[in-house]
Amino acid sequence: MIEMFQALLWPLLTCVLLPPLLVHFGLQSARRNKLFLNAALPQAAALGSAIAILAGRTEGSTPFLLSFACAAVCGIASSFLRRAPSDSPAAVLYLLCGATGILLLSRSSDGAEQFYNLTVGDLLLVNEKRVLHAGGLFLGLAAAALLFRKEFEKDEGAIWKGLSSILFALAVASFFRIAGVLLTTAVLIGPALCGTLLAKSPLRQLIVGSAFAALCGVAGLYLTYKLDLPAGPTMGGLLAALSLPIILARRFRPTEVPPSA
Amino acid sequence: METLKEIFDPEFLLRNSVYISLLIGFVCPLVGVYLILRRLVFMAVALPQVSSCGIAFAFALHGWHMIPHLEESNESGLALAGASVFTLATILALSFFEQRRRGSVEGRIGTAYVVSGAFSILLLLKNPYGQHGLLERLRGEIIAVSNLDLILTGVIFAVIVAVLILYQKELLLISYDREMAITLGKKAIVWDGTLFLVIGVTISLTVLSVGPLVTFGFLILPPLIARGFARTMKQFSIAASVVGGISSIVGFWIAYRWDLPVGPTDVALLGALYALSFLIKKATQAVAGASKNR
Repeated sequence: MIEMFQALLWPLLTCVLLPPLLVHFGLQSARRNKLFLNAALPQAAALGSAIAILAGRTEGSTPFLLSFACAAVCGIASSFLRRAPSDSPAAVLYLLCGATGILLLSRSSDGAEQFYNLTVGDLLLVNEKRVLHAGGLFLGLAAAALLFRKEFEKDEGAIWKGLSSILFALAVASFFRIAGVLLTTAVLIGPALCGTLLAKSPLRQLIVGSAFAALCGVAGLYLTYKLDLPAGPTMGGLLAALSLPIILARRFRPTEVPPSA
Repeated sequence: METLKEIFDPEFLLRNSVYISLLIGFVCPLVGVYLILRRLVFMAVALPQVSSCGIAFAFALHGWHMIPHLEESNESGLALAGASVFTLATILALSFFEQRRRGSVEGRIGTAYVVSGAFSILLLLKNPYGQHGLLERLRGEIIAVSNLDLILTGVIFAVIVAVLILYQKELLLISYDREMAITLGKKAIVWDGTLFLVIGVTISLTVLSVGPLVTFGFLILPPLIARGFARTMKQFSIAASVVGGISSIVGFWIAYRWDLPVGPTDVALLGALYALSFLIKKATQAVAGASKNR
């Protein structure tokens, strides 16, 4: 067990320290009934990486900047476009990013492999430098989210909407570079769902969601290590699959009787 | 023009892919119209993913030697069975949860989407037998379509179109105003069941040929394009189907001409058309507003 923790120290820290901010953004999307955005933003970040691969700029900060730019455009467009019928702007952006990403990668000699890598990520290969970079960025983003929380909660005004989308895009692009599309989407959706089902106040929802994400992250890494599975899909699958018993428990919970007047 | 002639030549090597693209292009939007009406856009992305997971599971059963070696023609049947069982089971489960109207519908659909996406990849990785084919399918390649697959898809799609035409009134009423339908004595559970069966079978068949992303594209984008211009439900359905059909052919032509994967090319084309239709609609509204102010 100790051997596992030594070998997977940085992936483990990634799974425990980074998700709370993503859970916060996932909950924010859920409260605004824009859950589809949680699937669209990681896809947009993948499009940015596909552009970097095609341009031959896979090293340095270019892939991250392109991923951030695509995710930011997607987030801003989705928050400013009218929402009728449900989530259609995010759905169209999700489709466009997915299709364009595949088209771009089809021009690359190892496009199929790159497509797979962008989907699954390389969490196990994360090193100290990447975790510290991402951790520093996430700390800054968390401070900004906390500082302007009232303005972001109102979701009014072009500046605040735009700023909120940019912070969200930065967090998604940073986590996506480590974890891939699938795990990023899972961290945005699964814990937010658990948080909203198990707690009422926003703070408790965030705590429950973050604890759930951390628990699934550690359990997922253990399974990855023991069963030789890819980390992204294992943890993503676990995050979503463990939400199912919570949904079931809520489904069969007796209906509360309102107090008589 | 030469490329177009070549594509429609009966001796064209990829003729079955052309025909199946056309079928999907015309039929999927007819089903997608109901998903838009019911505001179930997220379901349109989750169900194809679930369907892919069903295909991966069916191939995994083969890989785990739980079923005997199959001929190529039977593999399609196995994949269709896996896709249909998973899709219909998910639809049933989601409808069951919706009955009490508690919790977030989108949250449950999102969970189904992530679970199926993750397990598709895990099953794919643990099964080298289906690895290559499934990865191609996830990327939306429409290349190898056998005569049997084409006939099977054609027959089932014909039945689906017949059901949609014959019971259009009931299906629209139950989708548009459920309470009114119940007041008028329509059996909601029967019509909901029929519609979900149609949606499930269409998605299973389409994912088998073009993968989840392209299926989602053809379900959602043509109806979204048509919605801005149609005045009646009939116009809405027909326009969506025509947009889908024409895009599938033009997309195939572009993909063949410039050596691109067909499915994503179709989706990118539909996305461009959506953006164009959005701009035209906004411009028309601006012109109408300006002339009203005068």
